[in-house]
Amino acid sequence: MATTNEDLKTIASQQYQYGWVTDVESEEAPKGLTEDTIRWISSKKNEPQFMLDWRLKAFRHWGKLVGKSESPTWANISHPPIDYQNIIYYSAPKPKKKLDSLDEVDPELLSAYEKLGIPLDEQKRLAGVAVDAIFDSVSIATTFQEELSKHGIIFCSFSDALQNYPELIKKYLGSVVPYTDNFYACLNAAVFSDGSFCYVPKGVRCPLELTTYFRINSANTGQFERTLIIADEGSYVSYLEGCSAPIRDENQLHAAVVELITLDNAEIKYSTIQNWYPGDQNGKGGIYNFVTKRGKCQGKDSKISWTQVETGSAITWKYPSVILLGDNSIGEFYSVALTKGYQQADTGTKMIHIGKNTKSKIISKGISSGHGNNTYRGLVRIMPKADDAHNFTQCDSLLIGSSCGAHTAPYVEVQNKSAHLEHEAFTSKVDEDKLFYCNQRGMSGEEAQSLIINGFCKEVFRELPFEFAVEATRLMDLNLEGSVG
Amino acid sequence: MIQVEQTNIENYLSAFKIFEQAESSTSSNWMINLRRNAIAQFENSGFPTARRGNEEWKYTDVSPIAKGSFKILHNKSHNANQLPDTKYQQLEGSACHNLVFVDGFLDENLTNISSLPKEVLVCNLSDAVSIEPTFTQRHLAKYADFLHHPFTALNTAFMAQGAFIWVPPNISIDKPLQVLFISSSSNSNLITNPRILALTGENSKFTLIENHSAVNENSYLANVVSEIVLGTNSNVQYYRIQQESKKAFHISTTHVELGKGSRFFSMNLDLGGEIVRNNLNVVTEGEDSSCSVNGIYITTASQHIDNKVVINHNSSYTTSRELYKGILSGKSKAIFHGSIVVREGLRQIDALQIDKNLLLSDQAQANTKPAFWIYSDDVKCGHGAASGQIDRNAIFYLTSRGISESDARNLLVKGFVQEVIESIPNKFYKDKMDNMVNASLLDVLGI
Repeated sequence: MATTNEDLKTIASQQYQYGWVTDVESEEAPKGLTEDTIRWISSKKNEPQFMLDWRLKAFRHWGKLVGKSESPTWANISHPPIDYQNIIYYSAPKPKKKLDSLDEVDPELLSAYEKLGIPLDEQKRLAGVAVDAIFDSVSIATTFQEELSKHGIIFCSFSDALQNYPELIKKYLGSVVPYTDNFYACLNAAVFSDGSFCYVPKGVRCPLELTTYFRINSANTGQFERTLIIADEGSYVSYLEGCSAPIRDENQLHAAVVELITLDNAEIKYSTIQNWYPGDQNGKGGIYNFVTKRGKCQGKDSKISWTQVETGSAITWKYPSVILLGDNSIGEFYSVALTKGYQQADTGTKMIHIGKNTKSKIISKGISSGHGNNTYRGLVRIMPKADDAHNFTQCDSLLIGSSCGAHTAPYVEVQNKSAHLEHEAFTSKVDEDKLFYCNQRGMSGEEAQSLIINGFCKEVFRELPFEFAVEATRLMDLNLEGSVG
Repeated sequence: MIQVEQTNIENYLSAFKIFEQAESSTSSNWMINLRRNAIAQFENSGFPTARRGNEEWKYTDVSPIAKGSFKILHNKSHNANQLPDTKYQQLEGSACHNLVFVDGFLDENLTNISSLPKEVLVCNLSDAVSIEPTFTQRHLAKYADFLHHPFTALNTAFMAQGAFIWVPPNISIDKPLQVLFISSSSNSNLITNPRILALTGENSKFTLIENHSAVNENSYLANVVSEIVLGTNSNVQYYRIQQESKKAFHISTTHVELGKGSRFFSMNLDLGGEIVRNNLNVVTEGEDSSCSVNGIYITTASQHIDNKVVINHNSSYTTSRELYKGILSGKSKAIFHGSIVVREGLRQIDALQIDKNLLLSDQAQANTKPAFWIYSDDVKCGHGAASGQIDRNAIFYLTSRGISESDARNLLVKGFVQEVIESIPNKFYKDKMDNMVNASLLDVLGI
């Protein structure tokens, strides 16, 4: 372990360490949601007509869903009803003037990201990481664009992409997550403000890790961003996503959509460290993280891999999925979800096997402590034409303390006899024999616990890019500090 | 969310009026009230036909049942002498104490319970209400919940005849008690609502066989509810054999309560039926109790077999084991939905759940949902599920050793379910089950 126990104690006493607010003047949409709000957002961003039309279609559909009160209720989570009229749907730091380079970004914002450990200054960059920084509703800076453009890679904010590459957006937007998909995805389609866009051309292996960092700053706002990544034939990209928010007493809604598309022989590796504000010890405040993430292996021999470390948010409702359409395509899902305090997580994945000889692998590790409730919910569906499909699923849960809950609700649907499926799950507390073994060798209870839990998560952590793996291990120690009972 | 299905509810309501009248002379007040509560509940909920948000019946569409117009038989109509040698004899009538119901009515000629120990009370449920009124009132319909389960409500509304079993403390019954439900009517579209209430006292032991079979290949609905309550340190083995007509609908609910230190073993064999749904709920009410629940389903043609098994761990130091296996062919569809629930604040819970399916045809479909809902930390819970076809390498291995391909295939199919048969603790039943599975495989697959 890189950090010593003493360090951990100091950090733990600070509780959530990203809970500060940046003092910047911001421009906000009027509170509430009507067609005018959507027109306002769209015109603010100077969007092409097709975008506004799509948003309005989505909004009308959402109106119908609200009318039939069809917000999803099947997940194992509980929260008071959300007042969608009491949310500010757009909030952006006021630009002093039009930005031409990074040097002109408000220093307040730069220092905010500095504080978060996200380097926007290319001089002090982390080697090989390009960052798109999203602050409330807008992207404030994207680094390394020049370097990337040498390879023909497009990596920019969604707004820029709409101005510069409308035909790509038009072709792929909503092709994986249509606006009719679900309640929150539909809301996102109507009001999304910004996000990241990435296109990797044929045969290019992206030389940098791409990162989007999301920061909620303003009060009463919801964050609705949308990410679209397209990996053209034979390309590869590794994409990381991080996030945080200030400590506030009221709950804030974050409803994002991520769409990934891989064509023949392409690969996308998508990693998330989700560390939104989880609420205080008594479950007050925190982010509602209702996210739709889905990838489509459209081409043959393509691959999409999701890795997520979920430690934040009051409520997580998230099922990164893969549609295995192309023959021989591969879908992977690696997840560690930690709930403590009064956090609730209902998360998992869907693997839809459509093409022949498709493979999927699911490794999910849930850790519950305090009064947290952690549910793995997953679906593996083998369609009739998916000959020789393979799936391996392992969803394990660890319980720490007697007031938490760990739940597993997997669905397995097989419609082809040649499918080969294995599913394993195990739930238990930290094994006392293992703790004893460690104690006997001179480790304290806390060190032993940390060692065992990191071992439990190792299968997932090793899928993370290096910097993230260190971050994830540290985050896990920090979050579990003091939970040895 | 359960949608109210209007189509045929009226039929059941009017049938209930006639039924209530016919039963009025033999029913006590509490029974009348119980039935009225149940029919009101059913009227309110209707059949669980909703397809959206209906998690409980996600994979099983009961609208063919809801749309069917099933008739309730108000009087005994069959003639025992006309009953041909039915499949029920496979379990050797003479080896068991037999309680036989034909089309829902007790058949005195076929019933033979005279050699039971005299302390044991086994009788028709309608007689138990008068022989042991307070005892029956205390237990009947107190375990199987009819407030949230429309089929249980329907059964409770129309319950009249059935098996009542009381095994007093320290009594052990040597031969198994077989309760046979035979559908014999040449009229199709009958509904029967068979019911079993079985209770055991401290340190008692017995084996219950619940056998459903048919004389004709008719379409009918058997809507069964069984309540089994195990007293302290008692031991019950429960075999459930479902060999209804291939056109029949079979819906069953078995609710088992485990007292302190009790042991429960069950084996569920599903061979017949067009649409079948078995709900098995086991609750560990007392500490140190344990259960082992097992099942085999062999499906073919357009059969649809749905097993829902819920194990509620309500006490500390309890253990549960589940092992279900299915062999699917034709266009059949099988569902296994297992739930393990561990209540808050318990110690040392050990639960394991396994479901495996073997698919023999391209159109067969297997859906599995093995779920955990765990609110205590001192647990060891595991589940495993697997699905696949016959291993080509295994076939190759056997054929390379001179076994013909068809023999190799048969060996592997049989070997697949053998694990479940091996879990049967008693050799006699193990052999019987083995024979029945063999016969069914021969029948279904020509193996």
